[in-house]
Amino acid sequence: MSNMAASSTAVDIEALEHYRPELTGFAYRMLASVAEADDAVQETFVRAWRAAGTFEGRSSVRSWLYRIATNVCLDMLRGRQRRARPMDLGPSSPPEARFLGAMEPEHAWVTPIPDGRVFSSDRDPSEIAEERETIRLAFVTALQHLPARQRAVLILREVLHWRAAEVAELLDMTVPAVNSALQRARAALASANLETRVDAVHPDHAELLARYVDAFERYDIETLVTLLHEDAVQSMPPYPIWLRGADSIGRWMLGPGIGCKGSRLLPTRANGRPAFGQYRVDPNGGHRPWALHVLEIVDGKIAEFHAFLDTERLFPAFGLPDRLPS
Amino acid sequence: MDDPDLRTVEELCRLQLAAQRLGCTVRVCDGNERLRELIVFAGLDDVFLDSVGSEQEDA
Repeated sequence: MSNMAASSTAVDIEALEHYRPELTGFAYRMLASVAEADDAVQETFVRAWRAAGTFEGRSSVRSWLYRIATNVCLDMLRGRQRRARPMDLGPSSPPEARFLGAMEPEHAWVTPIPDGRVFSSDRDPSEIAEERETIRLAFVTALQHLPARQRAVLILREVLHWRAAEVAELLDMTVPAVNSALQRARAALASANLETRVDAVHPDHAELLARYVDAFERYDIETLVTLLHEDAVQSMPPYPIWLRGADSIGRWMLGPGIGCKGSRLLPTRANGRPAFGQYRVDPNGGHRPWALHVLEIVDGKIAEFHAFLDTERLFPAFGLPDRLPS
Repeated sequence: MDDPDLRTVEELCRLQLAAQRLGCTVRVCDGNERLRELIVFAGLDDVFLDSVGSEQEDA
C-alpha cells in the first residue's frame, strides 16, 4: 500500500484518463481490434499506476505512457497471427453463396472501431484529420505488414524518440536513408495499399450517403450499383469471401443477399469513415441487427463496402440498439 | 532478463551502438524466445539475430 500511496504523488493518475482516446487509437492501430485495444489501454494504466513512483519526469507523461502501451501491445502480439482483411488473404470470388466459405474466428480479422473511441473533441482539427487517415481499416492492416527495416525505423524514431543520426548508426544506414525509410513507412501507411487517394470525410458526401441509405432501404439495387465505382470491393467478415466489381456486388445483393431486402440503416462512424448499422426484417416484428457497413469513398463514389457481421460484439460497441421496433 | 520488453530492446540497441563504435557487434544467441520475438517485431532481427532461424519479414 505504501508504494501505491507514494506512487500517486509522482504522477497524477486521474490526469492519465485524458490520454485514453489517443492511447486507444494507438493500441487499435497495433492490434486491429477494439476489444483488445481496450484491454491494452487498461493494462497500460495498471502498469503506469504501479510504476508511477519510478517515473522520473525525464520524458513527458505522454511519451512514457506510449512506451508502456507499446510494451503492452507487443506482449499481446507475441506469437500471434496478424489480423487481416479478406482482400489480403486471397482472390475475389464470384457472387455466389457457395463461395461464402466458413466463418473465420474473430481474431483473424481487422475489426472496425467507433470514431468516438479514438477522436477526443479537444484535439486540434488538423490532428483529427490526420488521425482519421491513420485509423482507416487499410492503414491498420498495412502497419501490421510493414517491412522489418521500416518498422524498426518507425519504432526507434517515433516510439523510442531516437535521433535520426543514432538510428542511422545502429542500422548502418545514412541519415538520409533513415529519413527516407521513415517517409516510406509513413507513405506506405498513408496509401495503405490503395492505388487511389481516399477522400477525407467531406460535406459533399452527405448527398451520396443519403442516396445510399435510400437505395439500400428500398432495396433498389439498380440505383445502388450506380453509387459504386466500377471496381468497387465488398467484404463480409467473418466470412473470407470478397467481391470485386459493382456488377458482382449487385448480383450478390439480388442473389445470396436478398434477405437484406426491407432492411433499415442507422448512421454511425467507424475508422474515420461513414458507417451504418444494418437491421434486417425480424419475422417476429421490427428489425434485428444484421451487419455494420463501413464505406470508403473515392472521388464521390463508393470504392469499398465492408459489412461486418459480428453484430453481437460490434453493435454494443457502437452504441447501436439491439433491435428496432416496428 | 526474465521479462524482456521494449526497454530491453532499447538497451540492446544502446549496447549495440557502443559496441559498434569499438568495432564490435552484439548478437543475441540465447534461447529467450520472447526477446527474439520482440526483436523480430521491432524489425531488428538483422541487427541482433543470426540469419539462421530468424523470421524474415521483409517484403
